Formats: sequence, C-alpha cells, structure tokens
Amino acid sequence: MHSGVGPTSGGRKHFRSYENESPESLGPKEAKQPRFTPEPSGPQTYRQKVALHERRVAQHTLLKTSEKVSPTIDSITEQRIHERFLNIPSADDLFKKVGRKVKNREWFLVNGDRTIESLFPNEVKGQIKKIQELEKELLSPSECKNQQFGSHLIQKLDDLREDILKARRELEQQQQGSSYWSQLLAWYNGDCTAVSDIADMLIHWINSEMQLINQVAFDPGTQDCCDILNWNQAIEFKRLGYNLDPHFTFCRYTDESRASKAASVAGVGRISKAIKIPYQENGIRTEKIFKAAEPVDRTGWEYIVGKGQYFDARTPHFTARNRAVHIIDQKLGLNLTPEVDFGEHNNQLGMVMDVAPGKTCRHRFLKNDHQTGSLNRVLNGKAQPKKHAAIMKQLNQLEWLDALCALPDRHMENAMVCKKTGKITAIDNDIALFPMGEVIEPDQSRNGPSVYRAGCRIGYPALVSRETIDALEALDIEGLHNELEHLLSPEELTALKTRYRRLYCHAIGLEQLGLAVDNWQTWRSQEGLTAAQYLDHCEANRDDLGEVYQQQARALLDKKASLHREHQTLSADDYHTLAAYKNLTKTMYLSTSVSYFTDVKKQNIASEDEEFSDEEDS
Amino acid sequence: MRLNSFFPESLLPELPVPPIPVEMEDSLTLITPNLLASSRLPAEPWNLNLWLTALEQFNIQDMMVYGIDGFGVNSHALHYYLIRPHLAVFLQYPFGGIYQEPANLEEVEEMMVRISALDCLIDDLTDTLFEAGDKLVVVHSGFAGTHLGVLDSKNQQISWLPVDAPLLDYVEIWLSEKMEA
Repeated sequence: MHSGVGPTSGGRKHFRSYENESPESLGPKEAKQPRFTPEPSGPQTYRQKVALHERRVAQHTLLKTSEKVSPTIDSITEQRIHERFLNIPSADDLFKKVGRKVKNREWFLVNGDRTIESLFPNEVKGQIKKIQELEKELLSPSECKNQQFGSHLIQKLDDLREDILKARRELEQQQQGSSYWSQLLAWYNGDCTAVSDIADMLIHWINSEMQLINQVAFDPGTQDCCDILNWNQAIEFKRLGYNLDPHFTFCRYTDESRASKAASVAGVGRISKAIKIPYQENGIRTEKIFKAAEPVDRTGWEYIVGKGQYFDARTPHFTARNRAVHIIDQKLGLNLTPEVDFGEHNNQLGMVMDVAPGKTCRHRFLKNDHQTGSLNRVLNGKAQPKKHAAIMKQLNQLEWLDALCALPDRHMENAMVCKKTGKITAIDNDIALFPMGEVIEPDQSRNGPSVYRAGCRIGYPALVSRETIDALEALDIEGLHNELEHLLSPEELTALKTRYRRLYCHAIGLEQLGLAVDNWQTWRSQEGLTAAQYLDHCEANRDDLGEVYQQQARALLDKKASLHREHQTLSADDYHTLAAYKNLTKTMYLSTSVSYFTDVKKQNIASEDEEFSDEEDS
Repeated sequence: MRLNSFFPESLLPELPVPPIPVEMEDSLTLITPNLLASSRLPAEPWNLNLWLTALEQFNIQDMMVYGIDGFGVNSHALHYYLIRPHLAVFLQYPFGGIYQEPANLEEVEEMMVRISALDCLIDDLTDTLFEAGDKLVVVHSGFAGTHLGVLDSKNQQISWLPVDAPLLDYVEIWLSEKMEA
C-alpha cells in the first residue's frame, strides 16, 4: 500500500515547503525513482517550453514502447505536481488569495473577526433590537389588534429601510457621510458596488420581514394561537412555511425554559449549527439538541426521488416530518427515533430533540476502509449473540419504519448504536413521508454508486420480525391519519396509508413464506442460513430469489383475490400491493450493509477481543 | 428575527489546503462560507449522485470544489471534487455533523496530494489511454462507497469497475493493464 506521493509520505509538509528547497533536498525516495526527469517550474521561455514538450514526447514514447514500465502514482515528483497545482502553504494564504478576488459578504466571514453583525451600522443594530423587543409581545385574541400591531411593526421596519436607502444614496454620491459606510467602503478597497450589494441585502431582508408580519396578521389561525405564541415565534413559523395552528405551531422549548444559560456547540457540528442546551421540564433537567430549522430544502433529493413524487421543496417542513416519523415510530412501539419538538433559541425557531445515545453505525461497525469498528465482532455473531440478535432485530425494524415513512436517506452516519446496550437510534429523519404510495427501491439497471440515482434505498424488506407483524396489525391507521393531519398534507397522509397497506400485506406474505423471525439469534431459513447470512444471500442472489418469490407471490395473490370475492375484506389497491412481491428481491440496505461488513472486515479481531473482554452481554 | 442566522461561520480556514490546479487560480471563489469552487456548480456537492449524472450527460467543465456541505444534523461531509480533461475525482468524507467523529484530516490531506499526483500521471499517459472527452472516474465516499469508473463520453455513460484493492492501488493496476493492452 502506498503511503504518500513519492518522498512526501507525510503529505503536505514537503508539498508546502517545495518552493524554498533545492531539488536535491526533496528527499531520498524521489532520487531513487527517476522515472521522469524533473521539470523546471516557474516562468519559462519559449525555448524551455519546446524542450519540455520534447521531453514529454520522449516520456510518452517510452511508456508506449516499454511493456515493462508500469505507471505508479508515487513516481510523480513534487516538481511535476507543482507544475499543475498551486503551492499554497497554509489556509490563511489561500484565503488571502481568494479574498482579494471575492467581493461579497462571505469574505467578511472568513477574514479574521469580521462577523455579519459588523456589517450593520450601530444605528441599524439598535433599531433591530427595539423591533425584536416588540416582537416578544404575545399574539392577541382580537383580529383587529393583531393587524394594528402588525402595522406598527411594519412601520418600524419601513423607517429602518429608509435609513439604509438614505445611506446608500450618500454612498453612491461618494459623499461618504456615514462613518459606517466609509469603513465598509475601506474594507472593500473602495468598491462601491460591493457595499451597495450589502445595502441591497439588508433591504431585501427587511422586505421579507414585512411580508412575514403581514402573513401573521392575516393568518386565520393567529387568534387561536394567542396564548401560546409571541410575534417573533409566529413570524418564524411563517418563515418556515407553516400555517398557524394551536395543535401544532407552538414552542415547547424556549430560552425561558432553559435550565441554565449554558449552551455548547454539539460535537463537531458547527456546520449544522446544532447546540446542546439544558432545559428544565416538570422540575427535571434534560439536555437536548437544538438545531435551527431550514426554511427551504436544498438536499437535492427532489431530483433523485422525482419532482412529482417529492414534497414541496420550497416548504419542506423538516421538523414536522421528523416529528411525524417519531409519532409513527411510537405508534408501532419500536422506539427507534428521538423525540422531536419545536423550540426557540435566540429568536430563531428550530428543532429540539433528545440526545441520541451511542455513536454512529459507521464508527461502531466500520472506522474506515481498512479498520473494523468495535462492534464488528458482535455483528459477526461470534461475540455476544444476544446483543447481535438485538441489533439485527432493531435494524430490521428500522428498515420497516423507513419503508413505511418513505425515508430513503438512511446511511451509516444517521443511525446511532449504543455499544453497551446495542440500542439503535435513527436521527435525521427529514427526507421522509413523500406524497407517493410507492415503496421505492434502488435502480437495478445501474451499478456502482449510480444505483441510488433513480429511486432510492427503500425496498420491501426480505425479513420481518414477528413483533413488527403484530405492531402493523395493531396499528390504527385511521387514528394515526387523524393524529398526523396537522403535520402532513392530505396527499402525504393518503400515501402513508397506501404504503401501510402494501407493507402490511408484504409482512403477512413473508410470514406465510416462513420469513417471519421470532428469535433473531436462533432463526434459520429453509436453507439453514442465519438471519445475517440470509440477508447476505438475498443481496448477492437477488435475481434468482426474485423468481422464486414471484411464483409464490402469484399463488398468494390468487388466494387473496378469492378471499376478497368471498368476504370483500381487501380493496382493489391490495391486489396491486401483492404484486409488489416481485420486488422482494430488492436490497436490504442497512441490515444488509451491516451484515456485509461483518464478512469484509476480519482484521483486528484480536484487538476487539481485548476490547470486549470486560464487557458483559446485555 | 435573528440577523446572523443567515450567515454561518466558516470552518474552511481550519481544514488542510487542497491542491488547486494552476489554471483555476483566477476563478477560485467562495460560493458559501464553507465551500470553495472554481466555477458554477452543477449541484450541491453533497448530492454526489447528481454530480455523476451531470458528468455523464452534461459534460461538466473542468473545475475544483472543496469544502463542507450537507444537511440535517449528521448528514455532512468534507468534499474535494476535481474535474480534469481525463480525470474526475469525487472525495467525500463524513465531517461536520453533531454526532460525527472528526475526520482524519491528515488522511484527507494525503489523499488529496495523491490525487494531484494521479492527475499528473493521467496527464502523462493521456495519449496512450483516453479518447477525447473520456475520463477516469474516482469516487471515494463515506456514504456511497469506493468506486472506479470510466466515462465513455460518446455513449454518455460511466462503466463501473469492481474495486477489490485500496482505491489508488487499483487505479495503478488498471492503468498498467490498460497500457499493456
């Protein structure tokens, strides 16, 4: 295995320092491998360029004619790399280089301590703070009063807009009357356009706020939310595209319900802006994760799932989806997802959720390409069989939950596993509950990473837990429909019911085929395979198994059809559902992936043995 | 209303410097506080599948993208995408989510340096190996797995090859076999 580029096995250290070093000091390994003659860097004369071209032609000829020469990445010299790639020694240098050319607000953010607040003049900041104070007022039960208060807020914002427009006019006339704008101009090296852009940005923001205030003032649900929402919260709900509804749009967690002012950035997630906050609820202190809600969907799933089949990406309602998935999870008694609710922190609305115990499946099962995770041996079934069975069962239940919720985005980073208990927790349930009744699947016509490009990773699971069958049977789908009607659109609810019917029939079908698992530790298929082996087998032989399933499914379909004629217990849609058996061949994405990893990673088992030596089977 | 909610802070200065092709120096731009690119993107880097589709169907121009992109609580990754005349590299390391382990940045840096060497190697071998427009496609993603493919620009399709060795070792083997053939 190669460890680096030629002499630079340490990577960047040598790469950075190249310009200051003579060719002789580049390292011994490079000197031993003179496959290509080092080429000069920097500006070249025409003659040098011709010489370089001739040398390259000679090298190509050598490569073409010599069968024994095999190309290796390590044979490439640093000098050669620096001909094609910039030699930037540090991140600071890179940002200086970029910053010289970038005349936009982003540059402020990466250039030293200039934060966005510094973009706003003090007068603007003062006025905004006053408006924020006003917005702490609760909504009124009187429609007239709400509209009057909305007008008052809009007037304040209008004054602010006028001030900014005035300042921009001064700037355009090069009067530089305000010290703030002069300072901003200096930061932008005298570029009036860039500063004007900032003023435009502020005005655009003010216009949006005014529209949102109007929406709150004229929302039919505003009066009903009078005791539970203040103006800021109502405006934020409108920003996220929700209609005000006392059953749903309220903030269970606010800065007032915090147990202390302490708040810390959670994990390394500064990008996702998630914050760990202690809350006090019924006298109990609990730590929760707050994550600011995103008003629009920029995940790109719309293009994978298909535009007509996806929810409205302009108002994705991610928190509502997370909450709906949690409710469905609880109704099925699976307890696989964290509790999710709305919260407000620093005037911003977001999702507040329980902290998921454990670490990601990737960390537990697969640290990187060549190193197994600490639970790999458990998954191998060779250590702690009870824990192994518990994990397999939960992953299978998660697969059913994801199929029911049309959640295609499950991957090794958003399923957590607790090492001690084997408890699985599924997070990031944003991309779910599409308005289509299909249980979508990978595109079997493709391979490689393209397999997930059309459709996605949900398919009909190949095994089912007995408890899952019971839970599906006991689920009151009409009651669930009513409970979720504030969270989802009618189309999404109809699609949920369709998927439920299909999956329930599928579960019954699996049971009749002997593929319902009572005990994940002792279950064996007809061929004598364990559950993990069976799932691997399904993955590897999906086409062959598909034929078998299809024949049995046809028989089952006929049987069900006759039942329908006699008792009228099944709807026409259920016939279609049974036809879904042909899709039994499809993949078990997560369970299979995990069991697959058990075969691939057989290294480091000795070290894992030591790791588990003092750990009891739960 | 909260002003700075629109403007997350940048993590880029804390990350290793990516290899930047010389000819892209002038066009390098911060398109978000956490994303550096040399030209307009066909899709958000998080959506690797869309990039592969674009590569097949729309002939993406040469470019480099570096930075963090993602969504949700834990679906984030550090990306280094490099599109060259005969090479397309997509590196995607889980990074930035609240439950994610900090990525091994040294490993990322080493991989990027080796990719720059691979680019030189491909450049040296171009006449021998590729038709115009064809590319070697290298995918190393913590989410989509490790894959090696060859873009046939005439048929607008990537043929994926099974990878049964560490990725870049396999690239070398493939190049050797191709040269011998």
